[in-house]
Formats: sequence, structure tokens, C-alpha cells
Amino acid sequence: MKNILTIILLFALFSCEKTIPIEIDNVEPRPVVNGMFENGKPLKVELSNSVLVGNEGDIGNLENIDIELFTNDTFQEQLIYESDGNYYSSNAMEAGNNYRIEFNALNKNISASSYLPDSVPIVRIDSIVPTTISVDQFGAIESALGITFTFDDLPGNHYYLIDIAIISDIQQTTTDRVWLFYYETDYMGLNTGIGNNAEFNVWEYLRFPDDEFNNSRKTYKFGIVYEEYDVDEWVEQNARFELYFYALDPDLYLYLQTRDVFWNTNEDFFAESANIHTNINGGLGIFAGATLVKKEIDLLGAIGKE
Amino acid sequence: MKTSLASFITCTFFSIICSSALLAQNYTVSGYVRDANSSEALIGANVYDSATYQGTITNNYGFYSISLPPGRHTITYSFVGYAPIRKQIDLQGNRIMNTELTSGELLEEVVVKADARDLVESTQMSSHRIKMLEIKKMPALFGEVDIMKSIQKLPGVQSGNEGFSGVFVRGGDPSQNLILLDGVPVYNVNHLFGFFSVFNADAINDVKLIKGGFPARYGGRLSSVIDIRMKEGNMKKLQVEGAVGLLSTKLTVSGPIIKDKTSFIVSGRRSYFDLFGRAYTTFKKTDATGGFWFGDLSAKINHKFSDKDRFYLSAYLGEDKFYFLGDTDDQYSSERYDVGLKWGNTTSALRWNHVFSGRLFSNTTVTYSRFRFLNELEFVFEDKMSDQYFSHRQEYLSGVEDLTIKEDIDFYPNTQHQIKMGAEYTYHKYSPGVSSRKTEATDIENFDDKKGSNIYGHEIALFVEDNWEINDVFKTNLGLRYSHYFVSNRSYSSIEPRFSLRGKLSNSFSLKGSVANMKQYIHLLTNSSITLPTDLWVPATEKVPPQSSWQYALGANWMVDNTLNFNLEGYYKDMTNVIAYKEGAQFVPTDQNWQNKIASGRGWSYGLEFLGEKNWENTKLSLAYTLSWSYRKFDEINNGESYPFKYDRRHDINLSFTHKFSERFDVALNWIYATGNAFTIPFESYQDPGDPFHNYSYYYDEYVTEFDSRNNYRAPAYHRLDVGVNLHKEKKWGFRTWSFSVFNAYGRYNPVFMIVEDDDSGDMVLTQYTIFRFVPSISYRFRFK
Repeated sequence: MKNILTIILLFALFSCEKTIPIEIDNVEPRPVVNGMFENGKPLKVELSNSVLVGNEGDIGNLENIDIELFTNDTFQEQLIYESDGNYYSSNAMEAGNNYRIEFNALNKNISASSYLPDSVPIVRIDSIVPTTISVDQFGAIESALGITFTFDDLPGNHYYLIDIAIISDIQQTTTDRVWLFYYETDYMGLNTGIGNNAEFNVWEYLRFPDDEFNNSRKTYKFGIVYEEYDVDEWVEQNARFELYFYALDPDLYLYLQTRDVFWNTNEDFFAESANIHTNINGGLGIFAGATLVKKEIDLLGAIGKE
Repeated sequence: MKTSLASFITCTFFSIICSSALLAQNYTVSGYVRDANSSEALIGANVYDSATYQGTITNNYGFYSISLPPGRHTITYSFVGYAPIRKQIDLQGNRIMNTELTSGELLEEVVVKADARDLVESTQMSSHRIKMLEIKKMPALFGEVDIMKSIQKLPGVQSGNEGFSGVFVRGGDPSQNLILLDGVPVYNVNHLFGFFSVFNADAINDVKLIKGGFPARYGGRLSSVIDIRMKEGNMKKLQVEGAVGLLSTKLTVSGPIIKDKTSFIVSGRRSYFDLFGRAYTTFKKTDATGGFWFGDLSAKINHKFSDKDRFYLSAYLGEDKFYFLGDTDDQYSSERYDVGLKWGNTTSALRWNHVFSGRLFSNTTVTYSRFRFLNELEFVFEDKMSDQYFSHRQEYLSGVEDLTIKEDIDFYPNTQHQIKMGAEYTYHKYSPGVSSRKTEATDIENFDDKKGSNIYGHEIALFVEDNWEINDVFKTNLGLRYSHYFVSNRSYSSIEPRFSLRGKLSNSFSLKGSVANMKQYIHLLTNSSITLPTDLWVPATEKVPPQSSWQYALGANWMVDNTLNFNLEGYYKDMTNVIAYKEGAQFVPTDQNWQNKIASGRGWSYGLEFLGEKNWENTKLSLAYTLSWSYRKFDEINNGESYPFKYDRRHDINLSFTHKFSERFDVALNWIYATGNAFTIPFESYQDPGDPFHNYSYYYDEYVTEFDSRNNYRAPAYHRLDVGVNLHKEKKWGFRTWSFSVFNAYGRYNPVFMIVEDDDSGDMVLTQYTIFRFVPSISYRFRFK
């Protein structure tokens, strides 16, 4: 028996897991562009550099770079450097224009372009109907509103994002966010395309493509969930609500999709590795825009708390 | 294709007609070749007539048939590990000659000759027979002799991750292996997440691996056939044997029910991790307990009605179970939870062998196979103060179930032709993730729903093949398989031609070539790194069509002398509609939309394989080497560019050495070298640009990583030395063997997986995980006299 115990002990000692850091070759740093923009606002581009994994302390801002902005292939201006790697345009971005930036940094010629989609107006808010929904794995029932609105999709591939903004007397509250959920189609297929770890199937905003209604009038239904204490606070703050409806540059849509996938699967042994989509030639990051239209919606009225 | 089918049928028909004309001049010698001690069928035994230089081998039931001209003949029966028998006959009519061979007392050179001759003579190439006696001598991880891990050491076969039983054949993945246990497909061959295979070596009679040149009787998978035959049970006497290891114990009992007429075998195995766990929780008096165990039970009954009729009934039941239970109860509340994961296979086969005549052998089979994974969770809470309660129960079930009826016939019209033909029908039932949830509670609405549904499929196959000895030099195996698959209002059909040719340039040297087209109507959703019980078998669909392959192989077999032989083969395999997870897809199924996670594309592989074996009186040395390339290409992965398959390995070497010092003491060494696995490693890191639409700025100020292409990093080479020592002793009651082994004797840090992750200081580092370094094991085997 003593011998058997010795053998089991030996087994336990020698079969344990080991972690070994491994030397990897150097990686040439590349410029990273953070340039997401919106119609009616100036362009802001933030520049930094990439590094070899493990050297994140060497990530820094790229300063005093000459970034040229072109509108519809015509030079418009050189972006103004402010600080901390941030560059601004002097003019606001407009829907329906094609924008391109060009610059040289870290001995690399960088370019990126984006078409800021045409505005897609909301034709009408069709209905806001109180309902209930189960959004967690235990099937707990939550209060909800089903919201239906109509818009006219444009020719070509379009991608949309919807959000509910709270306009209130107090900006920062514990309930400054309305949680949304997909009504019409499978949230898995729409929000991240593949796989999602969300414990609750509610989202800060919703994204969807126009694959099934290209170039036609679409009546879209989505939902929001709320708790009674949310409503009390909204009433107290005299809150109003606006439906934010964005038309996204395809690159921006893909960027948001792949970024979700990246964070959902990062460091997950049971998932395939994923890169975040980039449209920066010679670099990393994103340069893409979204066109926003807004429509006020009476959520409190639908709940009966006017 | 229709023309080639017609040509094939015409050719086969005329060859049968022509040969029939010769029947009158020949007589048939037929019968069974069996083990003298147990009457077990000897599968693949050689039967050779030295007068006419003609020979054959026994089929999967030990049956043979050979047509010879009248007159005197000396027929030699030989089989690896058995002393050969020569019988002289004066053939003046059809003869039934059942033969029994004795194992053990044999000359090594005879052993080699019997094995190597088959390699030289047979049309079948790219094939290996696993010798059960030999694998029990080899060192094994935790002392568990494992058939699948023995297969991993053969040329052209790769092992996947260290310690796991996954088998990757010629650039294919584990889902492309047709694994048959007594002719029944086994869908999940793993215990303990793949560390051990479900096959208990003590209950196995014969294992054959086919990597290419597939005969038409096999179909439904692209890359390999692993045909495993269980023992039939000892017809002569009761036999009890078993083994006690570090992780499990197994026991096998076999014997006659009616001597020389009916026999049985029952073999069981169970692990004991959970017993340690239970002992710990009892000792610690905790509220919760958990554990894991696996076990399997196989049984077979074999009844000989007459020399012409035999029935077999076999069954296998295997299960892995993980459980976690908790229970608390006090004056305020009570709480109970029960989490269970269990998975396993059930297979059974009812078989009737009938010998119509010395030339016609029939096998009728009904089989059933089921793999099931079940995840159960139950939680109950009761607040005794307020009388409120909450109970929730959920289940997730996935699996596959097959019911097959099959008829196959072996027809031996003359010595030149061995024709096999047959038909089979399989009813498939797929359960790709059926889940149910039920919640009951005070103050909230009760909830009860069910998601997912079963999918039903029907598969029909017809096949015919002729093993045709054209002349002394050339022998060919011509085959054709027709298959039809019907699922969810979609149907697919295919005609799969098979062709093998042997050119025997001398009695000791032959060249071989083969072409095989294979079709696979089912897919396995797996991550290809490790095998999880959650892996899903799903049918081909419109979006994910059936897989198909063409494989071309050329080879040479050289039996230098009675103790030395070489085998060299080259192959090229082209696969279409293979599947892979898209970037970012999670392997654990979360929903029914598995098709969204999958990309369908092309794979191709090519390589050279070498096997050399040298036998001395008490020593054996073998070297297996594989040089190979394997790639994948999918429109939706890696920007549409091709990339190396995860198990694309340039070099695989397996060097084995065994030496018997005496009847009581032998040693075995096994050295393995493999080019490192390909991993997808992001080398570049940058500031996450974030998501401007999120109010909550989580993930901001975090770093994200970037890789340049899939499988862009080659891990350090894998190598290890395993050492085993066996001490045998005959006791009054029987025989016992103590086996001591060390896995990875020189303690190499071999990578199992590699990921980029944050270290303790928050910096990102590439780390390699090693599981097994220097694992000593001990096991005790016994067999009663």
C-alpha cells in the first residue's frame, strides 16, 4: 500500500501543468488609426502605433503627422493636430461624400477611404406596444415595449444601427441606458454573426443589414426592456427619448461585428482566433463613418406614465 | 461516369462468365482458420498452395476459399504470432478444411514472413494491421493500452494534441475516419475528453487501418477506415483475464456456453477518479460533491448452428459522466443543485454468417449505433421564512443514432477472382442540440419551453468489387460504390469508383497503385484541437454540402529476407467541401445556427510514408517516417488565402524497439518526433479603437491583437521517449505481468496549446502549456489458467 501511495504521489507531482514564456521575433510597428465619424460633426482621427505583443508599454501617440483629407477625391484640408495624437478637420462631415485620408508615419504610406452613407429618414413610428419578454436563461419575464418604425431602404448594400437616446435634465444617472433586444430575427445571426456569450440577450444598440429588404420600404420591429425603477427615475428626470437611426459604412459595420467577435472569443481556448476588421492600407484600425437621423419617441406615454 | 459504370459491370460480368467456364476443372478448398486454444477467428490469415503458388487470406470471420486443380497440393496456413501448419491433400473434389493454428511457440522468421508476404502479395495498399500482442508490450500513458494511440504511431497518421486519441490520417481530420466496431460505426471514440479511447484492448481480436486504396465495401468517410473486430469468446474453456492500472481496472471473462458450439465474452472497464473525490468530500464533510468516471462494457455471444451457419450477437455500452451535487438546508432556507454531463456510445450488432457453398459466403447484419451527450442542470431554492420557492431545470441533448441493415456476399468463382458485393441501408437520426428549460417559482410566471428538433436521414449504398489476379505479376481490385443520401427534402447521390493494382516484380518485391473516390454525407462540428463530447454530428445540408475526396497513391513493398521488410508510399489527396469554423466561432454550441459558424472549402494533402521493420530472434526494431504537407482554403477564412492545416507536419518519426531478455522480462522503447503543430498566434498588439456607439466604454484602454494569417506560428518540435518494462511470471493460478512505464522519460516540455494572454503584470505574453512531463505508470495484468 505504501508503494502504491508513493506511485500516486509521483504521478501527481509529474503530470502538472506548466506555462513557459516563449521568445518571439520582433514585429515592425504600424500606424493605428481611430477615425470613426458622423455626419454634421468634424472628423477626429487618433493616431497611435502597434507593437510586438508583450510590449504594450511602447504604444504611444503619433504626433505632428501631416494628414491630408480628401473629399470626393479632391484635397480638402490638412488635419489640425491638437494633442495626444488627436487630429481634427475644420469642417463637418456630410452624408453622401466619399472621404479619404493619406499620411506617412513610421516610414509607411497610409491611406484609407470611407463613403459616408446617404441619410435614410425614418418615415414614421408605427407603434409602441407594452409587452413582456424572457431575456435570460432562466426564462424570467421582464416588462418590455415593442417598437415598430418604417424607413425606405436605398439601393445597394446598407447596414443599420439603432439606439435609444435619453434626453434628461440629469445626464449621468444609473439608468442612462435603454436596453434593446431583437424582435424579428435571431439575435445571434444579427448582432455578432457568430456566437455570443451574453448572459442576457439585451443590447445597448442593435445592428442589422438590409439583405432581406434591399431597396424597399421596411417596417422594422425591435424591443426595449425596463424595470419599474427605471421608469420612476425617467419620470423624475423628465426624460425624453429619441430613436437614433444610423446608416453605417460597410467597413464600420464589419469593424463593429468583428470587434464584438474578438472580445467574445479573446483568450478563449474553445474558439477560433479572430482579427478585428481594418480598412487602413498599410496600417491598422478603422476610418469609417455613420449617418445619423433622429426621431423622438414617446416611451413613457406608451407605458402610461406621461 | 455512366460509361465507366457500364464498362465496369460488363467487365466484371464477363470475367465471372469466363471464370465459370473453368470451374469444372477446379475444386474448392474452403473453411475457417481459427485459434487452437480459443477457436477465435483468425482474420487475415494466409492460405497458400505451394504447388500452384496461389493463395488467399481469410475474411473478417476467418473464412477462406481457394480453387485448385485436381491432384496433390501442400497448403500452408500461417498467421502473425502463430506457428504455421502445412497440410498435404490429394484433391479429387470440393473440400472443407477447417484449420486451427497455435500461438506462442513459433519462429520469429515465420511471423515476419507471414506478415510481409501479405504486404507483397495483396492488392490492398496503405493498410496496416495492428498486432494486439505487440501493443500490450509497448509503454502506455498511465499504463492504459490504447488502440487509437497505437494507430497514431503508424506512418501517415498524426496524433493531434499530446495525450489525446484523435487520429488524423493523411491530412484529414478525425471526423473523416470510419471507425467500425464489429462493423458498427462508432461516432465518439473517446473517454475522458479524448485521453483514452473507448476500445478495451482485452476485448479486441483484430484492428485494421486503411488509409487509401479503399475497397468499395467501405464508404461514408474520406480519410480512413479503422475496422475493429471484437473477440468472439473462447469455445474451449473458461478464461478470465484483467488488468489493474492507475486510472482504471478491467476484467474480461470468456468461455464456452456449449463447448465448441456457443461461446461468450464479457469485458468491462471502469475508472476510479470519482472514488478519490467521494473519499475527499466525505472526509472534509463538505456540502458539495463532484466527480468524474468513465466505464464501458462489451459483450458478445457466438453460436455455431452448423459448419455453414453461425450467429453473433455483440453489444457495446460506454459512458463518461461528470457530476456536481450540492445540498444545503438550515432553518431559513434550503438549496439543492445538481449538474450532470454524461455522454457515451451504445452499439450492437446481430450477424448471421452462412456458407452457401465453398465459393459463396454470406453475411447478414443488423446494427444499431448511438452516441448521446446530455447536459442536465437542476436548481431548487426554498425560502422557509417567506414560503417562496424557485426551481429551474434545463437539459441539453445532442447526438446521433443509426439503424443499419446490411447484406454482403463473398463469391470465389475461381482462384483468379474474389468478388465482394453488398447492399446496406441506414436510418440516421441526428439531434444537433435539443434543449428544454422549465422554471417554476412563486410570484413569477412559470416558464417551460423546448428548442431544436431532430433531423432524420436515409442512406443507401450498393457496392461490388473484384479482387482479380490477372496473372502472376498483376493483380487488381476493381470496385464501384453507389450511395444515395436523403435528408430534410434534399437528396444526394454519388458513384464512387475504386481501383488498386499490384505488380509483383518478384516473390519479395511489388509495386502498387490506387485511386479512390470517397463521399461523406455527415460533418462533425469540432475544433480539431481536442475532442469534446459536445462535438456535433450534423448531416450535409444545402449550405454545407457533402464532403468528397479523390486520393491517388503509389507504393512499393520489399521483403528483403525473412526478417527485414520495407514499405514506401506516396499519396495525393484532394478534398472538397471540407468544413472549418470561421474566425471567432466558438466551439461549444450555443444555438441551432451551426451553419453560420461553418465555412465550406477545399483541402489537399500529399506526402511520403516509410515503414521499415527488422526482426531478430528476441528483438524487433521498426521505423515509421512520414513527410507530408496539408492545406486548407476557404473563401470566408484567412481572406480566402490557403493556409496550413493545424496538423500540417513536415516530419513524423516513430522509432520502436522491443527486446525480450527472457520469458520473464522484456523491455520496450518508443521514441516519437513530430514537427510542431501550427497555431494561430497574434504577434501584433495595439490600442483598441473602441466602439463609439457604446455608452459604457468597456474594453476601452484595452489592447487588441492581430495575426497575419491562420496557423501562422509553428510550435517547437514535439518529441519524447517512452520506456516500458514488463515482468511476466507464471503462477499456480495463471500468468501475471507487472508493467512499468515512463511516458516522456526525458521530461521534454512539449506544447499542447499556445495562446497569447496577460501575465501577472498585465503584459501580454505568448505562453505554451505542457501537460505531460515524465509520467511514470504501473499496471498489473493477470490471466487465469
